[in-house]
Amino acid sequence: MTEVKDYFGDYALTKIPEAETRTFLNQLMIFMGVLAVWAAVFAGAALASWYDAVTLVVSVVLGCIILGIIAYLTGYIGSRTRASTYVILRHSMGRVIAMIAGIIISGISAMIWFAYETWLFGVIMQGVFPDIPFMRVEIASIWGGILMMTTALIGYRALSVLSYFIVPAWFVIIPMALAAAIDINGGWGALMAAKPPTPMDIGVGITFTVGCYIVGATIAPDVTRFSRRPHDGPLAWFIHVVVFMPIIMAAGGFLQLLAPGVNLAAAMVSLGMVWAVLLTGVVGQWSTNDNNLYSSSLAWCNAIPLKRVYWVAIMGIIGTVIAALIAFGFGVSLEALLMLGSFLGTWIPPMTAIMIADFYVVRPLLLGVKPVDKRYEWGPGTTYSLVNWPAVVAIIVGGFLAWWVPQVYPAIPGVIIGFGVSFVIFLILMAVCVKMGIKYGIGKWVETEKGF
Amino acid sequence: MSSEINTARAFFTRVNLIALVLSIIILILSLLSSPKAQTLFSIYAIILIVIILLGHLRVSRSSDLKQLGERAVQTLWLWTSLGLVALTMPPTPYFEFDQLIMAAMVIIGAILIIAGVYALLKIRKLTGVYLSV
Repeated sequence: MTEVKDYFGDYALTKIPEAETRTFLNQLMIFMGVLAVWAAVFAGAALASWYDAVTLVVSVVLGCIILGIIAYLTGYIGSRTRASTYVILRHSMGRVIAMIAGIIISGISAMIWFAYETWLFGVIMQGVFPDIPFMRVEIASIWGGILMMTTALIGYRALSVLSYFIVPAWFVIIPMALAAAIDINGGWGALMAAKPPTPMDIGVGITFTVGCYIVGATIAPDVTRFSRRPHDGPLAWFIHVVVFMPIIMAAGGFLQLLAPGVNLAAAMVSLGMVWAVLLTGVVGQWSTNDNNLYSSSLAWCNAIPLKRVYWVAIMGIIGTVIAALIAFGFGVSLEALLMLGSFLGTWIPPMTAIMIADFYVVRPLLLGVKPVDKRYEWGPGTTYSLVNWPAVVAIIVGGFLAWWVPQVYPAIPGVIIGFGVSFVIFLILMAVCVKMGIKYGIGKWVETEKGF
Repeated sequence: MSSEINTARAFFTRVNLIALVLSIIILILSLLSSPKAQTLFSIYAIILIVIILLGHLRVSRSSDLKQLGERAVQTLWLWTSLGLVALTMPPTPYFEFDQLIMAAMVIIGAILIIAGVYALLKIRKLTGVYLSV
């Protein structure tokens, strides 16, 4: 990809220049900033109804290792090509499908998460300061949403600064709070003796963990494209998910095992850690949610040629309005919103599979493009097919099975089915097309001067 | 160039030394506190001390202005952020801190944050590196 003028802002559709690349620590802080959120603690609490403390940790660690491997593979594509997830998808899926896939992966899904986290921010504020009108969930959702838009509007630099400021403190405060909460709820002995109410096979927990963060693993290139050395970003993703995500999820799970119904935020408030809850709630939620909005804006830039800041503003306002409407109870159902997010999420692992299969198998082994730097090329004048039909077939079949199979056989993980089936189908179809000389790309799209 | 490196390195070393002294004070105060606070705050202080010492080592070994700036900014961010822990956690009744120790901890936390932000801006000016390195 030749370097072209950054028309959309923050290199949304162009290659990151060498001077703008960042260090390993920067990437680690950004990823941990995404993880530094109360929703991750609450997700861990959900596992406590299935597992004892040891099994909970084992299932989370195994799930995190799977996530780490997937994200290492996707992140490496980003750090080698220095392009965002949605631009990377152009070659494997075709230009039009890359637009649609980007909107599904981040354009809408990340905006839904932005709305959810903004609403949750309001809930936490009201929980900590129930008597202050400005902190009522309806009001806090609005100013919280606006606050979280600011760093996403500025771009990657602001995301980094915010993450550097909050992440080290967040990951010291939460374990300290957990240790205190465990102590007042019976101690480590009681924790080890605690039994879950409805024991479950460990595979369910692994799938749950993978499902919690598969979108993050898929869109890792949005951040790793800034990676100075090819392995910095992917390694940062791997470390943050394998080392730190288990700590965060265990924090929620352990407390839930000891004191069912009590979440860590509430426990911290009851311990008197009001300022710590406020800090971890406000800035932690912020450092996660601005990334949601940032990725959403990158995906929209790839689909509709509008500057990135406008997309941040549009998606941020929509997300904030949705959060406020949920808070006001004006007919917007949170469950319906999360169901939509979950349904869209079903289609993401198949897209991840296509991305990985194309870069690591199809390009070098089927198309003979061995050098890593040559596998994907971009720049004005580059031609793409509009639709790569093997990718479409693989996504549809994999996505459908990922949605349908768990409804019939609940023990079978949809995420794994979607990823595995799409990966295999895509490879088979591409192998057949290449060997038999069948055209796999339909139509033609020529990249413009602006990178669109 | 060499004088710029020396100026930046000397400034960083001075500020880092202040942070080290403050961290050691936190460690001492933690050891003087209730058993509930002792372990957790001692671990916190040790993390802080390790980060500061590692930062000093990395900066003193840096060969050019950009590398020095990046390493200094990273170290400064880490201990500035960790200052938030000393600012927010000691007032928690669970830790049963003596009022005087609690006040000292909070003040140290505030100093770490203010000194850290000042040093970040100054290092940025001296070395020209981004704060988002």
